Amino acid sequence: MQATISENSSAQAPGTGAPAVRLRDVTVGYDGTPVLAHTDLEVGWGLIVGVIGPNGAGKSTLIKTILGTLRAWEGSVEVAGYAASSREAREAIGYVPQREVVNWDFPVTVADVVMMGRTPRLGWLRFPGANDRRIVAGALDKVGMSAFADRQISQLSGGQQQRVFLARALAQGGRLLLLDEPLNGVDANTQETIGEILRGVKSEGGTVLMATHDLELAAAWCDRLVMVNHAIVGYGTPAEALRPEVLRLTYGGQVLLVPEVGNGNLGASTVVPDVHGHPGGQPPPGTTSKVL
Amino acid sequence: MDFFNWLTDPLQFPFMQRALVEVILMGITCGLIGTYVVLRGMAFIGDALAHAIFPGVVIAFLLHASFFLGALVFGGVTALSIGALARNRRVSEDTAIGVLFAGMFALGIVLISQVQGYTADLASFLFGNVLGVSVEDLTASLVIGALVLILLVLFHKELVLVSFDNDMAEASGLPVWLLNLGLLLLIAVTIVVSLRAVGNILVVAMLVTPAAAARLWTDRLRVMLGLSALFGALAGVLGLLVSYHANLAAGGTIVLSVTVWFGVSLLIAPRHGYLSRFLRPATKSKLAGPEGVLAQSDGHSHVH
Repeated sequence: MQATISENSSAQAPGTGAPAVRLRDVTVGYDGTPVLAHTDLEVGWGLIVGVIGPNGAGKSTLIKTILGTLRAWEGSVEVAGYAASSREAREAIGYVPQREVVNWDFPVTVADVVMMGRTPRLGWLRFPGANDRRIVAGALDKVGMSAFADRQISQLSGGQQQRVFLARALAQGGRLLLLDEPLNGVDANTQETIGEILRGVKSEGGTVLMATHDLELAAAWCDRLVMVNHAIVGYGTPAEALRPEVLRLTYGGQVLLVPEVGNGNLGASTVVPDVHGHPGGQPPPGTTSKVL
Repeated sequence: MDFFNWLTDPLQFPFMQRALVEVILMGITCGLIGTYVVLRGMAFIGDALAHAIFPGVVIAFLLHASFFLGALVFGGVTALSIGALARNRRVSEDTAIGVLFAGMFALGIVLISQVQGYTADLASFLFGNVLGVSVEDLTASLVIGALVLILLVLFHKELVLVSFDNDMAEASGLPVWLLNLGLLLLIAVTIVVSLRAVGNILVVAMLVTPAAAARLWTDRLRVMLGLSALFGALAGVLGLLVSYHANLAAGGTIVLSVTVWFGVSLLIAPRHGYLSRFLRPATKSKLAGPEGVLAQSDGHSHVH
Protein backbone atom coordinates (compact mmCIF):
# COMPACT_ATOMS: atom_id res chain seq x y z
CA MET A 1 0.00 0.00 0.00
CA GLN A 2 1.58 3.25 -1.03
CA ALA A 3 0.54 6.53 0.51
CA THR A 4 0.26 8.52 -2.68
CA ILE A 5 -1.34 7.69 -5.94
CA SER A 6 -2.15 9.89 -8.85
CA GLU A 7 -5.59 9.21 -10.10
CA ASN A 8 -6.57 11.49 -12.87
CA SER A 9 -10.30 11.31 -12.90
CA SER A 10 -12.17 12.78 -15.82
CA ALA A 11 -13.74 15.44 -13.61
CA GLN A 12 -10.95 17.94 -13.11
CA ALA A 13 -11.41 21.32 -11.51
CA PRO A 14 -12.22 23.60 -14.44
CA GLY A 15 -9.21 25.47 -15.65
CA THR A 16 -6.73 23.64 -13.48
CA GLY A 17 -5.18 20.24 -13.64
CA ALA A 18 -4.68 20.24 -9.89
CA PRO A 19 -6.09 17.51 -7.66
CA ALA A 20 -8.63 18.32 -4.94
CA VAL A 21 -6.11 17.79 -2.16
CA ARG A 22 -2.35 17.39 -2.24
CA LEU A 23 -0.16 16.98 0.85
CA ARG A 24 3.57 16.66 0.38
CA ASP A 25 5.75 15.54 3.27
CA VAL A 26 3.48 17.29 5.76
CA THR A 27 4.23 17.34 9.48
CA VAL A 28 1.65 19.02 11.69
CA GLY A 29 0.44 18.93 15.29
CA TYR A 30 -0.32 20.91 18.40
CA ASP A 31 1.92 22.51 21.02
CA GLY A 32 5.14 21.07 19.67
CA THR A 33 3.78 17.52 19.55
CA PRO A 34 3.40 16.24 16.00
CA VAL A 35 0.15 14.40 15.27
CA LEU A 36 0.84 13.63 11.62
CA ALA A 37 4.43 13.19 10.49
CA HIS A 38 5.84 13.23 6.94
CA THR A 39 2.48 12.65 5.36
CA ASP A 40 1.80 12.48 1.64
CA LEU A 41 -1.65 12.35 0.13
CA GLU A 42 -3.21 13.10 -3.21
CA VAL A 43 -6.95 12.98 -3.74
CA GLY A 44 -8.56 13.56 -7.14
CA TRP A 45 -11.94 15.02 -8.05
CA GLY A 46 -15.25 13.19 -8.22
CA LEU A 47 -14.64 11.00 -5.18
CA ILE A 48 -16.12 10.29 -1.79
CA VAL A 49 -13.20 9.70 0.55
CA GLY A 50 -13.47 8.42 4.10
CA VAL A 51 -10.87 9.34 6.71
CA ILE A 52 -10.58 6.39 9.10
CA GLY A 53 -8.60 5.91 12.27
CA PRO A 54 -8.76 5.69 16.05
CA ASN A 55 -9.40 8.72 18.28
CA GLY A 56 -6.45 11.06 18.45
CA ALA A 57 -4.81 9.45 15.45
CA GLY A 58 -5.08 12.63 13.40
CA LYS A 59 -8.40 12.53 11.54
CA SER A 60 -9.46 16.00 12.67
CA THR A 61 -5.88 17.20 12.37
CA LEU A 62 -5.82 16.11 8.73
CA ILE A 63 -9.10 17.91 8.05
CA LYS A 64 -8.00 21.09 9.83
CA THR A 65 -4.72 21.07 7.94
CA ILE A 66 -6.53 20.89 4.61
CA LEU A 67 -8.97 23.52 5.87
CA GLY A 68 -6.06 25.81 6.64
CA THR A 69 -6.91 26.46 10.30
CA LEU A 70 -3.91 24.38 11.31
CA ARG A 71 -0.65 25.33 9.60
CA ALA A 72 1.68 22.55 8.51
CA TRP A 73 5.05 22.80 10.24
CA GLU A 74 6.75 21.24 7.27
CA GLY A 75 5.76 20.30 3.77
CA SER A 76 3.10 21.76 1.51
CA VAL A 77 -0.69 21.52 1.54
CA GLU A 78 -2.68 22.40 -1.56
CA VAL A 79 -6.42 22.55 -2.19
CA ALA A 80 -7.42 22.60 -5.86
CA GLY A 81 -3.86 23.66 -6.64
CA TYR A 82 -3.83 26.59 -4.20
CA ALA A 83 -1.86 26.77 -0.97
CA ALA A 84 -4.05 25.85 2.01
CA SER A 85 -5.58 28.83 3.83
CA SER A 86 -5.18 31.06 0.78
CA ARG A 87 -8.36 32.81 -0.27
CA GLU A 88 -8.69 30.60 -3.37
CA ALA A 89 -8.21 27.43 -1.32
CA ARG A 90 -10.77 28.52 1.27
CA GLU A 91 -13.33 29.32 -1.40
CA ALA A 92 -12.90 25.84 -2.85
CA ILE A 93 -14.04 24.31 0.46
CA GLY A 94 -17.33 23.68 2.19
CA TYR A 95 -16.84 22.71 5.83
CA VAL A 96 -18.98 20.75 8.28
CA PRO A 97 -17.42 20.91 11.76
CA GLN A 98 -18.31 18.51 14.56
CA ARG A 99 -21.78 19.33 15.76
CA GLU A 100 -20.69 19.69 19.39
CA VAL A 101 -18.43 22.68 18.79
CA VAL A 102 -21.24 25.23 18.68
CA ASN A 103 -23.80 26.44 21.18
CA TRP A 104 -27.15 25.27 19.80
CA ASP A 105 -29.01 27.62 22.15
CA PHE A 106 -27.67 30.60 20.22
CA PRO A 107 -30.66 32.75 19.18
CA VAL A 108 -30.49 32.22 15.43
CA THR A 109 -32.77 30.45 12.99
CA VAL A 110 -31.93 27.59 10.66
CA ALA A 111 -31.81 30.00 7.71
CA ASP A 112 -29.47 32.32 9.67
CA VAL A 113 -27.02 29.47 10.22
CA VAL A 114 -27.04 28.48 6.56
CA MET A 115 -26.54 32.14 5.60
CA MET A 116 -23.33 32.07 7.67
CA GLY A 117 -21.95 29.94 4.85
CA ARG A 118 -22.17 33.03 2.63
CA THR A 119 -20.28 35.29 5.06
CA PRO A 120 -16.76 34.57 3.77
CA ARG A 121 -17.75 35.09 0.16
CA LEU A 122 -19.65 38.28 0.83
CA GLY A 123 -16.65 39.98 2.38
CA TRP A 124 -16.55 42.93 4.74
CA LEU A 125 -19.31 45.53 4.92
CA ARG A 126 -21.55 43.65 2.50
CA PHE A 127 -24.99 42.41 3.36
CA PRO A 128 -26.60 39.26 1.98
CA GLY A 129 -28.66 39.87 -1.15
CA ALA A 130 -31.33 38.07 -3.16
CA ASN A 131 -28.76 35.75 -4.70
CA ASP A 132 -27.50 34.67 -1.28
CA ARG A 133 -31.05 34.05 -0.08
CA ARG A 134 -31.69 31.95 -3.17
CA ILE A 135 -28.56 29.89 -2.48
CA VAL A 136 -29.59 29.41 1.15
CA ALA A 137 -33.09 28.31 0.14
CA GLY A 138 -31.60 25.89 -2.39
CA ALA A 139 -29.22 24.40 0.17
CA LEU A 140 -32.04 23.97 2.70
CA ASP A 141 -34.13 22.29 0.05
CA LYS A 142 -31.30 19.88 -0.78
CA VAL A 143 -31.04 18.70 2.82
CA GLY A 144 -34.81 18.53 3.24
CA MET A 145 -34.96 21.29 5.86
CA SER A 146 -36.92 23.97 3.96
CA ALA A 147 -39.86 23.61 6.32
CA PHE A 148 -37.56 24.44 9.23
CA ALA A 149 -36.04 27.63 7.79
CA ASP A 150 -37.54 29.90 10.46
CA ARG A 151 -37.05 27.48 13.35
CA GLN A 152 -34.77 28.42 16.20
CA ILE A 153 -31.86 25.99 16.17
CA SER A 154 -32.31 24.75 19.75
CA GLN A 155 -35.52 23.07 18.61
CA LEU A 156 -33.70 20.73 16.23
CA SER A 157 -32.82 17.10 16.75
CA GLY A 158 -29.21 15.99 16.35
CA GLY A 159 -29.87 14.76 12.84
CA GLN A 160 -31.55 18.01 11.87
CA GLN A 161 -28.61 19.98 13.27
CA GLN A 162 -26.29 17.95 11.08
CA ARG A 163 -28.43 18.67 8.02
CA VAL A 164 -28.31 22.38 8.77
CA PHE A 165 -24.51 22.26 8.98
CA LEU A 166 -24.43 20.37 5.71
CA ALA A 167 -26.68 22.98 4.10
CA ARG A 168 -24.34 25.69 5.36
CA ALA A 169 -21.38 23.88 3.79
CA LEU A 170 -23.28 23.63 0.49
CA ALA A 171 -24.10 27.34 0.67
CA GLN A 172 -20.36 28.04 0.88
CA GLY A 173 -20.23 26.96 -2.73
CA GLY A 174 -16.93 25.07 -2.64
CA ARG A 175 -16.30 21.89 -4.65
CA LEU A 176 -14.39 20.14 -1.88
CA LEU A 177 -16.58 19.18 1.06
CA LEU A 178 -14.79 18.51 4.36
CA LEU A 179 -16.86 16.82 7.05
CA ASP A 180 -15.72 16.02 10.59
CA GLU A 181 -17.70 13.07 11.95
CA PRO A 182 -20.98 13.96 10.20
CA LEU A 183 -22.56 10.63 11.07
CA ASN A 184 -22.15 10.80 14.84
CA GLY A 185 -25.48 10.58 16.62
CA VAL A 186 -27.72 11.09 13.61
CA ASP A 187 -30.85 9.11 12.84
CA ALA A 188 -31.12 6.67 9.95
CA ASN A 189 -33.20 9.09 7.92
CA THR A 190 -30.59 11.83 8.17
CA GLN A 191 -27.84 9.34 7.40
CA GLU A 192 -29.58 8.51 4.13
CA THR A 193 -30.04 12.21 3.31
CA ILE A 194 -26.37 12.89 3.98
CA GLY A 195 -25.39 9.96 1.78
CA GLU A 196 -27.56 11.25 -1.07
CA ILE A 197 -26.08 14.74 -0.83
CA LEU A 198 -22.52 13.46 -0.78
CA ARG A 199 -23.21 11.37 -3.85
CA GLY A 200 -24.75 14.46 -5.46
CA VAL A 201 -21.58 16.46 -4.81
CA LYS A 202 -19.54 13.64 -6.31
CA SER A 203 -21.72 13.34 -9.40
CA GLU A 204 -21.17 17.04 -10.06
CA GLY A 205 -17.43 16.43 -10.04
CA GLY A 206 -16.79 17.58 -6.50
CA THR A 207 -14.91 15.64 -3.86
CA VAL A 208 -15.98 14.76 -0.35
CA LEU A 209 -13.53 14.13 2.48
CA MET A 210 -15.26 12.76 5.55
CA ALA A 211 -13.82 11.70 8.90
CA THR A 212 -15.87 8.88 10.37
CA HIS A 213 -15.88 6.08 12.91
CA ASP A 214 -18.42 4.08 10.99
CA LEU A 215 -16.41 1.52 9.04
CA GLU A 216 -19.48 -0.11 7.58
CA LEU A 217 -20.90 3.10 6.12
CA ALA A 218 -17.44 4.16 4.99
CA ALA A 219 -17.08 0.90 3.10
CA ALA A 220 -20.50 1.34 1.53
CA TRP A 221 -20.27 5.02 0.57
CA CYS A 222 -16.65 5.75 -0.13
CA ASP A 223 -14.60 5.35 -3.27
CA ARG A 224 -11.40 5.72 -1.27
CA LEU A 225 -10.41 5.41 2.34
CA VAL A 226 -7.55 7.26 3.99
CA MET A 227 -6.33 5.16 6.92
CA VAL A 228 -4.80 7.44 9.55
CA ASN A 229 -2.65 6.55 12.53
CA HIS A 230 -0.23 9.44 13.15
CA ALA A 231 0.59 9.13 9.48
CA ILE A 232 -1.33 7.91 6.51
CA VAL A 233 -0.90 4.17 6.78
CA GLY A 234 -3.09 3.31 3.84
CA TYR A 235 -5.00 4.82 0.95
CA GLY A 236 -7.11 2.97 -1.56
CA THR A 237 -10.49 1.53 -2.31
CA PRO A 238 -12.37 0.18 0.72
CA ALA A 239 -11.51 -3.32 -0.41
CA GLU A 240 -7.84 -2.49 -0.30
CA ALA A 241 -7.84 -0.23 2.73
CA LEU A 242 -9.87 -2.54 4.95
CA ARG A 243 -7.56 -5.52 4.60
CA PRO A 244 -6.58 -6.96 8.00
CA GLU A 245 -2.95 -5.88 7.73
CA VAL A 246 -3.93 -2.27 7.01
CA LEU A 247 -6.49 -2.30 9.80
CA ARG A 248 -3.83 -3.57 12.16
CA LEU A 249 -1.57 -0.68 11.14
CA THR A 250 -4.47 1.72 11.64
CA TYR A 251 -5.81 0.52 14.94
CA GLY A 252 -2.61 -0.96 16.37
CA GLY A 253 -3.26 -3.05 19.46
CA GLN A 254 -7.03 -2.76 19.22
CA VAL A 255 -7.18 -6.19 17.63
CA LEU A 256 -10.82 -6.61 18.54
CA LEU A 257 -11.77 -4.52 15.55
CA VAL A 258 -9.77 -6.51 13.06
CA PRO A 259 -11.39 -9.93 13.27
CA GLU A 260 -14.83 -8.34 13.58
CA VAL A 261 -14.37 -6.42 10.39
CA GLY A 262 -12.51 -9.17 8.60
CA ASN A 263 -15.17 -11.80 9.28
CA GLY A 264 -18.16 -9.57 8.79
CA ASN A 265 -19.55 -8.10 5.64
CA LEU A 266 -16.54 -5.85 5.29
CA GLY A 267 -14.21 -8.57 4.08
CA ALA A 268 -12.50 -7.78 0.83
CA SER A 269 -14.36 -10.42 -1.13
CA THR A 270 -17.83 -9.20 -0.24
CA VAL A 271 -17.13 -5.50 -0.23
CA VAL A 272 -15.89 -4.99 -3.76
CA PRO A 273 -19.09 -5.56 -5.73
CA ASP A 274 -21.17 -3.87 -3.07
CA VAL A 275 -19.14 -0.67 -3.08
CA HIS A 276 -19.10 -0.16 -6.79
CA GLY A 277 -22.75 -0.91 -7.13
CA HIS A 278 -23.80 1.44 -4.35
CA PRO A 279 -23.88 5.05 -5.54
CA GLY A 280 -27.33 5.03 -7.04
CA GLY A 281 -26.34 3.39 -10.31
CA GLN A 282 -24.12 6.29 -11.35
CA PRO A 283 -20.73 5.17 -12.57
CA PRO A 284 -18.29 7.09 -10.38
CA PRO A 285 -16.29 9.33 -12.69
CA GLY A 286 -12.91 7.89 -13.42
CA THR A 287 -12.91 5.51 -10.53
CA THR A 288 -14.24 2.28 -11.90
CA SER A 289 -11.23 1.08 -13.81
CA LYS A 290 -7.83 1.95 -12.54
CA VAL A 291 -6.96 2.15 -8.88
CA LEU A 292 -3.50 2.11 -7.40
CA MET B 1 -52.50 62.46 36.83
CA ASP B 2 -50.44 61.75 39.90
CA PHE B 3 -48.40 59.31 37.93
CA PHE B 4 -47.88 61.89 35.21
CA ASN B 5 -46.56 64.33 37.78
CA TRP B 6 -44.44 61.59 39.26
CA LEU B 7 -42.83 61.25 35.85
CA THR B 8 -42.49 64.91 34.94
CA ASP B 9 -41.83 66.68 38.24
CA PRO B 10 -38.18 65.71 38.44
CA LEU B 11 -37.61 67.00 34.93
CA GLN B 12 -37.95 70.64 35.94
CA PHE B 13 -34.34 70.38 37.11
CA PRO B 14 -31.64 70.53 34.42
CA PHE B 15 -29.46 68.03 36.31
CA MET B 16 -32.34 65.55 36.20
CA GLN B 17 -32.86 66.14 32.49
CA ARG B 18 -29.19 65.40 31.86
CA ALA B 19 -29.32 62.38 34.12
CA LEU B 20 -32.36 61.07 32.25
CA VAL B 21 -30.69 61.40 28.84
CA GLU B 22 -27.57 59.78 30.28
CA VAL B 23 -29.33 56.69 31.64
CA ILE B 24 -31.23 56.24 28.37
CA LEU B 25 -28.02 56.41 26.32
CA MET B 26 -26.26 54.10 28.76
CA GLY B 27 -29.15 51.63 28.81
CA ILE B 28 -29.25 51.39 25.02
CA THR B 29 -25.48 51.07 24.56
CA CYS B 30 -25.05 48.55 27.37
CA GLY B 31 -28.08 46.60 26.16
CA LEU B 32 -26.68 46.28 22.63
CA ILE B 33 -23.14 45.28 23.50
CA GLY B 34 -24.39 43.27 26.48
CA THR B 35 -26.21 40.95 24.09
CA TYR B 36 -22.84 39.71 22.89
CA VAL B 37 -21.49 39.65 26.46
CA VAL B 38 -24.33 37.31 27.43
CA LEU B 39 -24.32 35.12 24.33
CA ARG B 40 -20.59 34.57 24.55
CA GLY B 41 -20.46 34.09 28.30
CA MET B 42 -18.26 37.15 28.83
CA ALA B 43 -19.83 38.40 32.08
CA PHE B 44 -16.60 37.82 33.99
CA ILE B 45 -14.57 39.65 31.36
CA GLY B 46 -17.01 42.55 31.51
CA ASP B 47 -16.68 42.75 35.27
CA ALA B 48 -12.89 42.56 35.01
CA LEU B 49 -12.75 45.34 32.43
CA ALA B 50 -14.89 47.57 34.63
CA HIS B 51 -12.57 47.07 37.57
CA ALA B 52 -9.41 47.43 35.52
CA ILE B 53 -10.55 50.84 34.30
CA PHE B 54 -10.51 52.16 37.85
CA PRO B 55 -6.78 53.14 38.04
CA GLY B 56 -7.19 55.04 34.76
CA VAL B 57 -9.97 57.08 36.27
CA VAL B 58 -7.91 57.77 39.39
CA ILE B 59 -4.84 58.83 37.42
CA ALA B 60 -6.95 61.16 35.30
CA PHE B 61 -8.37 62.62 38.50
CA LEU B 62 -4.90 63.13 40.00
CA LEU B 63 -3.55 64.75 36.84
CA HIS B 64 -6.70 66.82 36.30
CA ALA B 65 -6.90 65.15 32.91
CA SER B 66 -10.00 63.92 31.14
CA PHE B 67 -11.72 61.27 33.21
CA PHE B 68 -12.93 59.74 29.99
CA LEU B 69 -9.47 59.56 28.43
CA GLY B 70 -7.93 57.87 31.47
CA ALA B 71 -10.63 55.24 31.53
CA LEU B 72 -10.35 54.70 27.80
CA VAL B 73 -6.58 54.15 27.92
CA PHE B 74 -6.83 51.62 30.75
CA GLY B 75 -9.84 49.90 29.19
CA GLY B 76 -7.93 49.55 25.93
CA VAL B 77 -4.77 48.29 27.63
CA THR B 78 -6.74 45.74 29.64
CA ALA B 79 -8.69 44.55 26.60
CA LEU B 80 -5.41 44.10 24.71
CA SER B 81 -3.80 42.28 27.64
CA ILE B 82 -6.73 39.88 28.02
CA GLY B 83 -6.68 39.28 24.27
CA ALA B 84 -2.94 38.62 24.31
CA LEU B 85 -2.96 36.41 27.42
CA ALA B 86 -5.83 34.38 26.01
CA ARG B 87 -3.48 33.25 23.23
CA ASN B 88 -1.16 31.66 25.76
CA ARG B 89 -2.15 28.06 26.37
CA ARG B 90 -0.35 27.86 29.72
CA VAL B 91 -2.47 30.56 31.35
CA SER B 92 -6.17 29.91 31.07
CA GLU B 93 -8.27 32.88 30.10
CA ASP B 94 -10.23 33.17 33.33
CA THR B 95 -7.00 32.96 35.34
CA ALA B 96 -5.48 35.75 33.27
CA ILE B 97 -8.57 37.87 33.78
CA GLY B 98 -8.64 37.20 37.52
CA VAL B 99 -5.00 38.18 37.96
CA LEU B 100 -5.29 41.25 35.79
CA PHE B 101 -8.45 42.83 37.14
CA ALA B 102 -7.66 42.40 40.82
CA GLY B 103 -4.17 43.80 40.28
CA MET B 104 -5.42 46.80 38.35
CA PHE B 105 -8.13 47.52 40.88
CA ALA B 106 -5.58 47.36 43.70
CA LEU B 107 -3.43 49.85 41.80
CA GLY B 108 -6.40 52.21 41.63
CA ILE B 109 -7.03 51.90 45.37
CA VAL B 110 -3.37 52.55 46.23
CA LEU B 111 -3.30 55.58 43.95
CA ILE B 112 -6.46 57.14 45.30
CA SER B 113 -5.38 56.62 48.91
CA GLN B 114 -2.77 59.31 48.17
CA VAL B 115 -5.53 61.86 47.85
CA GLN B 116 -6.63 63.81 50.94
CA GLY B 117 -10.22 63.06 51.89
CA TYR B 118 -10.51 60.57 49.11
CA THR B 119 -13.56 58.67 50.33
CA ALA B 120 -16.07 60.94 48.62
CA ASP B 121 -14.29 60.66 45.29
CA LEU B 122 -13.87 56.95 45.76
CA ALA B 123 -17.58 56.57 46.31
CA SER B 124 -18.46 58.47 43.16
CA PHE B 125 -16.02 56.38 41.10
CA LEU B 126 -17.24 53.12 42.53
CA PHE B 127 -20.95 53.78 42.65
CA GLY B 128 -21.50 56.43 40.02
CA ASN B 129 -22.88 59.93 40.25
CA VAL B 130 -25.51 60.25 37.59
CA LEU B 131 -26.85 63.53 39.01
CA GLY B 132 -23.49 65.13 38.35
CA VAL B 133 -23.47 64.37 34.62
CA SER B 134 -22.21 67.26 32.49
CA VAL B 135 -23.11 68.15 28.92
CA GLU B 136 -19.65 66.89 27.88
CA ASP B 137 -20.38 63.54 29.51
CA LEU B 138 -23.61 63.36 27.54
CA THR B 139 -21.81 64.12 24.31
CA ALA B 140 -19.30 61.36 25.03
CA SER B 141 -22.11 58.91 25.78
CA LEU B 142 -23.89 59.85 22.57
CA VAL B 143 -20.76 59.46 20.45
CA ILE B 144 -19.83 56.12 22.00
CA GLY B 145 -23.41 54.87 21.76
CA ALA B 146 -23.56 55.78 18.07
CA LEU B 147 -20.15 54.17 17.46
CA VAL B 148 -21.20 50.93 19.13
CA LEU B 149 -24.46 50.84 17.18
CA ILE B 150 -22.78 51.51 13.82
CA LEU B 151 -20.00 48.96 14.35
CA LEU B 152 -22.45 46.30 15.53
CA VAL B 153 -24.51 46.84 12.37
CA LEU B 154 -21.54 46.96 9.98
CA PHE B 155 -19.85 43.86 11.39
CA HIS B 156 -23.01 42.00 12.33
CA LYS B 157 -22.44 38.94 10.17
CA GLU B 158 -18.80 38.56 11.18
CA LEU B 159 -19.57 39.01 14.89
CA VAL B 160 -22.40 36.50 14.70
CA LEU B 161 -20.24 33.93 12.92
CA VAL B 162 -17.32 34.29 15.30
CA SER B 163 -19.66 34.16 18.30
CA PHE B 164 -21.62 31.16 17.09
CA ASP B 165 -18.95 29.04 15.44
CA ASN B 166 -15.32 29.89 16.04
CA ASP B 167 -14.10 26.93 13.94
CA MET B 168 -16.04 28.03 10.90
CA ALA B 169 -14.96 31.64 11.38
CA GLU B 170 -11.31 30.55 11.38
CA ALA B 171 -11.86 28.31 8.39
CA SER B 172 -13.42 31.26 6.55
CA GLY B 173 -10.24 33.23 7.03
CA LEU B 174 -11.87 35.80 9.31
CA PRO B 175 -9.39 37.55 11.62
CA VAL B 176 -10.96 35.94 14.69
CA TRP B 177 -8.45 37.36 17.14
CA LEU B 178 -8.97 40.88 15.83
CA LEU B 179 -12.75 40.58 15.94
CA ASN B 180 -12.63 39.37 19.53
CA LEU B 181 -10.30 42.20 20.46
CA GLY B 182 -12.58 44.69 18.74
CA LEU B 183 -15.50 43.37 20.76
CA LEU B 184 -13.48 43.70 23.98
CA LEU B 185 -12.63 47.30 23.10
CA LEU B 186 -16.28 48.08 22.42
CA ILE B 187 -17.19 46.59 25.79
CA ALA B 188 -14.46 48.70 27.38
CA VAL B 189 -15.69 51.99 25.91
CA THR B 190 -19.26 51.10 26.81
CA ILE B 191 -18.18 50.58 30.40
CA VAL B 192 -16.36 53.91 30.36
CA VAL B 193 -19.46 55.85 29.36
CA SER B 194 -21.54 53.95 31.92
CA LEU B 195 -19.30 54.76 34.88
CA ARG B 196 -20.98 58.11 35.51
CA ALA B 197 -24.38 56.53 35.85
CA VAL B 198 -23.76 53.31 37.79
CA GLY B 199 -20.07 53.23 38.71
CA ASN B 200 -17.34 50.60 38.50
CA ILE B 201 -18.91 47.97 40.66
CA LEU B 202 -22.39 47.81 39.20
CA VAL B 203 -21.73 48.41 35.51
CA VAL B 204 -21.52 44.68 34.84
CA ALA B 205 -25.20 44.47 35.77
CA MET B 206 -26.10 46.85 32.93
CA LEU B 207 -24.03 44.75 30.53
CA VAL B 208 -25.47 41.41 31.55
CA THR B 209 -28.93 41.73 33.09
CA PRO B 210 -30.95 43.49 30.34
CA ALA B 211 -29.54 41.10 27.73
CA ALA B 212 -30.16 38.08 29.96
CA ALA B 213 -33.77 39.20 30.40
CA ALA B 214 -34.13 39.83 26.65
CA ARG B 215 -32.88 36.32 25.88
CA LEU B 216 -35.86 34.96 27.86
CA TRP B 217 -38.32 36.83 25.64
CA THR B 218 -37.03 35.91 22.21
CA ASP B 219 -35.10 33.38 20.14
CA ARG B 220 -34.10 35.95 17.51
CA LEU B 221 -30.80 37.77 17.78
CA ARG B 222 -32.04 41.02 16.24
CA VAL B 223 -35.07 41.08 18.52
CA MET B 224 -32.84 40.28 21.47
CA LEU B 225 -30.59 43.24 20.64
CA GLY B 226 -33.60 45.56 20.47
CA LEU B 227 -35.27 44.26 23.62
CA SER B 228 -32.02 44.35 25.55
CA ALA B 229 -31.51 48.01 24.62
CA LEU B 230 -35.13 48.76 25.52
CA PHE B 231 -34.93 47.00 28.90
CA GLY B 232 -31.66 48.76 29.70
CA ALA B 233 -33.08 52.20 28.88
CA LEU B 234 -36.40 51.61 30.68
CA ALA B 235 -34.65 50.30 33.79
CA GLY B 236 -32.44 53.39 33.70
CA VAL B 237 -35.41 55.76 33.57
CA LEU B 238 -37.44 53.86 36.17
CA GLY B 239 -34.50 53.51 38.54
CA LEU B 240 -33.63 57.19 38.21
CA LEU B 241 -37.19 58.34 38.96
CA VAL B 242 -37.63 55.97 41.89
CA SER B 243 -34.31 57.08 43.34
CA TYR B 244 -35.36 60.74 42.99
CA HIS B 245 -38.69 60.28 44.72
CA ALA B 246 -37.51 57.87 47.41
CA ASN B 247 -34.17 59.57 47.89
CA LEU B 248 -32.14 56.46 47.14
CA ALA B 249 -28.76 55.96 45.46
CA ALA B 250 -29.43 56.28 41.73
CA GLY B 251 -26.93 53.70 40.46
CA GLY B 252 -28.10 51.02 42.86
CA THR B 253 -31.77 51.72 42.16
CA ILE B 254 -31.23 51.49 38.40
CA VAL B 255 -29.47 48.14 38.75
CA LEU B 256 -32.15 46.87 41.13
CA SER B 257 -34.86 47.85 38.62
CA VAL B 258 -33.29 45.82 35.86
CA THR B 259 -32.61 42.94 38.25
CA VAL B 260 -36.26 42.84 39.30
CA TRP B 261 -37.26 42.89 35.64
CA PHE B 262 -34.98 39.93 35.01
CA GLY B 263 -36.70 38.07 37.86
CA VAL B 264 -40.13 38.91 36.48
CA SER B 265 -39.04 37.77 33.00
CA LEU B 266 -37.78 34.51 34.45
CA LEU B 267 -41.32 33.92 35.71
CA ILE B 268 -43.58 35.22 32.97
CA ALA B 269 -41.61 35.16 29.71
CA PRO B 270 -43.34 33.10 27.01
CA ARG B 271 -41.67 29.77 26.16
CA HIS B 272 -38.61 30.21 28.40
CA GLY B 273 -40.35 31.47 31.58
CA TYR B 274 -41.00 29.11 34.49
CA LEU B 275 -44.72 29.83 34.43
CA SER B 276 -45.16 28.95 30.77
CA ARG B 277 -43.09 25.79 31.19
CA PHE B 278 -45.25 24.83 34.12
CA LEU B 279 -48.47 25.48 32.19
CA ARG B 280 -47.27 23.74 29.04
CA PRO B 281 -45.85 20.35 29.98
CA ALA B 282 -46.55 18.73 26.60
CA THR B 283 -43.52 20.29 24.90
CA LYS B 284 -42.74 17.24 22.85
CA SER B 285 -45.39 17.95 20.24
CA LYS B 286 -43.51 21.13 19.27
CA LEU B 287 -40.92 18.96 17.58
CA ALA B 288 -43.21 17.35 15.07
CA GLY B 289 -42.10 18.55 11.69
CA PRO B 290 -41.69 16.94 8.31
CA GLU B 291 -39.58 14.27 9.97
CA GLY B 292 -42.30 13.45 12.45
CA VAL B 293 -41.35 10.76 14.91
CA LEU B 294 -37.88 10.31 13.47
CA ALA B 295 -36.93 13.74 14.70
CA GLN B 296 -37.00 12.40 18.21
CA SER B 297 -35.54 9.01 17.59
CA ASP B 298 -31.85 9.77 17.55
CA GLY B 299 -31.58 10.54 21.23
CA HIS B 300 -30.11 14.01 20.73
CA SER B 301 -33.26 16.05 20.71
CA HIS B 302 -33.02 19.43 22.34
CA VAL B 303 -36.50 19.88 23.66
CA HIS B 304 -37.39 23.27 25.00
